[in-house]
Amino acid sequence: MTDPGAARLERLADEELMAHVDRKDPLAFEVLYDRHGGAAFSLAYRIVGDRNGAEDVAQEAFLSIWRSNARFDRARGSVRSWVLSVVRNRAIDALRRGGSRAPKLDQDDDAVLAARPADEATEDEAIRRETSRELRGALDDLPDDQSRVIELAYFGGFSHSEIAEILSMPLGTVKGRMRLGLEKIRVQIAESISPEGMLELT
Amino acid sequence: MSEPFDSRDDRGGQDRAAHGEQWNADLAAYALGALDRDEKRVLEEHLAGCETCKERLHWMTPAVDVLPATVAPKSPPPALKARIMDVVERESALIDAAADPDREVRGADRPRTRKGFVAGLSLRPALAGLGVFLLLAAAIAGYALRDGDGTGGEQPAEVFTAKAERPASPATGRLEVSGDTGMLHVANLPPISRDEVYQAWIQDKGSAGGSVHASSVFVVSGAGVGDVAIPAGLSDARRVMVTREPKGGSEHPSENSLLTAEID
Repeated sequence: MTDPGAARLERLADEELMAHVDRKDPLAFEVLYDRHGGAAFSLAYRIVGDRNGAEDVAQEAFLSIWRSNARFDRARGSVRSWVLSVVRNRAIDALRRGGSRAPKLDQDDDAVLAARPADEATEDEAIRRETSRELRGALDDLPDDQSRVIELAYFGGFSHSEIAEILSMPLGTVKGRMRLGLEKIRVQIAESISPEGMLELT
Repeated sequence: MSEPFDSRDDRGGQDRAAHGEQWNADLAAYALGALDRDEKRVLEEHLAGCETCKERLHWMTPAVDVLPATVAPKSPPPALKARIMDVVERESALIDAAADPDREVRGADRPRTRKGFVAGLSLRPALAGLGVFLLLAAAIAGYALRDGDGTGGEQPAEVFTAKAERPASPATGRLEVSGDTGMLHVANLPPISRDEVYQAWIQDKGSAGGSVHASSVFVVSGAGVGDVAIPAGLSDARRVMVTREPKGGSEHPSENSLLTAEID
């Protein structure tokens, strides 16, 4: 991308870039893809399990973002989390269409994004910048019983009742392990950020 | 350092503790997208009026957001970006053409006629605007429809198979109808040039075969796959058809249908 306009766009922060994407600027969208396409493809690959499927999912997700009339709201998190929420939604939907498994996901892209709690943008950015390396092993560090239910839910798209059936355990146990696992990851996030004095998490 | 959100720590009291026990596990499942539909609806209704649970969800969400960072990095093929940007640039050109219809007309160096032309095609400037209006209306309606299938206000969709009208064509599709609106999912449509779009058409029920109305214009991915919303006109429709049309769309179909979904 050698266009001066494109070079200017490349210097913008994600949130500023999204204002151009909202105005259907293809150059801005290309920058958005360059920044997040790799993470999007990686997540799609993790969920659907093959390159062709991952390409289809990533393509669907980015075109959905391009065509969406829902404006990005920075109060609802980082652009990367926003993009990856759409990718995950599409990937689970692809699993469902494939029929090899029967995950549930009855949310559209905008509903996924709208469900995100507000005012986490700063924290989210800090996570992205500072902690991805440390947190790459976040799931591995959990007890197996907790990481398994989280993986089945997030990467497999299974509901907690389906997971209870798969693992032959009571529903309450599945929910409890999800809660414990997420709490531990959440504490790990806080610990990886706080020593830097970057944020005071509550 | 942040400690796990404890529903019993800061404001105290048995009520708050009981409240936390009741909802905490559901909030974790919700953050992971793992609640069943009815449970999700109940929790969202509760969240709308419960600051404690909103705070709890706010606290927990970064633990879910970080999960993609645990995935092994994979490099997407360059062709993926090329395919995505090809569609983006086509659609951007379509939008530009609507914003500046004179440019569309001046730049109309494509053939204006096509074999099997049904009615005289004259791509008037206003029509270029109409085409993009329909495209944008389709996008809006599409998300509205999918929202209706998700978080609330559910309206069951009837599903109809769309079949190729040309011999040996691999084109396939599925039409989901909810009241007067619908979503058409297409695959394996034949390729179009940069100066063309696909257009959906609605044929009414009627004794004389039913009149045909223009609906959404759209483009598809490099693999011929796409979704297009039909924003109106399906409550009294006999069938939905797809044709290739000059960029901006047409008033009348310029060829016989590529793909048809019979509704009745």
